[in-house]
Amino acid sequence: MPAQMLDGETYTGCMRELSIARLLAFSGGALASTRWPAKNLHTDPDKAAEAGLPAPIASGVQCEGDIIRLMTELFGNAWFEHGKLHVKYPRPVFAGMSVRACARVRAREVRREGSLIELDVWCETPDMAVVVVGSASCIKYEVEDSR
Amino acid sequence: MALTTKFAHELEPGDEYAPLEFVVTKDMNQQFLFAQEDFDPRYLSSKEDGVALVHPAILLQMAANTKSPSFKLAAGSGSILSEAETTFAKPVAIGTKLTVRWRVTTAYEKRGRRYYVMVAEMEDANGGLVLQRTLHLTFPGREAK
Repeated sequence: MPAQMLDGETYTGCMRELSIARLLAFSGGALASTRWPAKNLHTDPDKAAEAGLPAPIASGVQCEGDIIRLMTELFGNAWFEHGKLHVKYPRPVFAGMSVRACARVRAREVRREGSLIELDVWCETPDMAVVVVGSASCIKYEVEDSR
Repeated sequence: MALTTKFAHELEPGDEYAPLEFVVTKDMNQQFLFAQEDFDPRYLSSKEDGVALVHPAILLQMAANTKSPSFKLAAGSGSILSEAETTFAKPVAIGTKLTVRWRVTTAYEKRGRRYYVMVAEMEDANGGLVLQRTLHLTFPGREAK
């Protein structure tokens, strides 16, 4: 976790494949269910084909989870109480594609308890196509809350 | 206000979905840790009291409109999330009973398609707000019929 975050600084997560196994875990329902995995656009090639898709499509929320992972790395536990995230999903992510979360500091406002950091956030593929885009903000405590 | 029994594409501002009560178990949390490839120790055990936190991606997933018992899609239509705004208010420990409530606040047209803005609020058993998520939704396939 960075000690401070300055205007213009960029942070990136790891490029990770959204494998069909990960899509099944996210969108297939509870593993304990006798009907697992649920068949839907996110988990089943046939359902995806019926909707005209070349492959199962990852839930945008699953990519959003990558941004949240980056935010918890940057802000620690403060994210759970002060984190705000606003995103759109401009392009689909299909099973087997890889994405990584990115963030760039847009503004920083000093407050009594720390700094309110505003960031541009996005997820991108290896060829730099943006698949999730938006903004985030959180309090960055001067002394990290060790909870 | 009465809970709606409408199809998704028939929603109007003021309509509310039936709430969902759920508990995130350790198994469910681990399933999502695998899905997110995020095995941070805070989701496995807490330094303070030995209770692991629920991964936030589960909370986002459970705040989806499709999770309400009221959610009903007409044949031939789909539910697409185009935009979401989330405010986190409280960490959640595994085993916490949570309730999600949904209400439609506004509707608008964009590029010939109708969108519905639905606010999901998730609370713990004490009524403490865990998160608020504003969803921009469209239900292609039936809206023009």
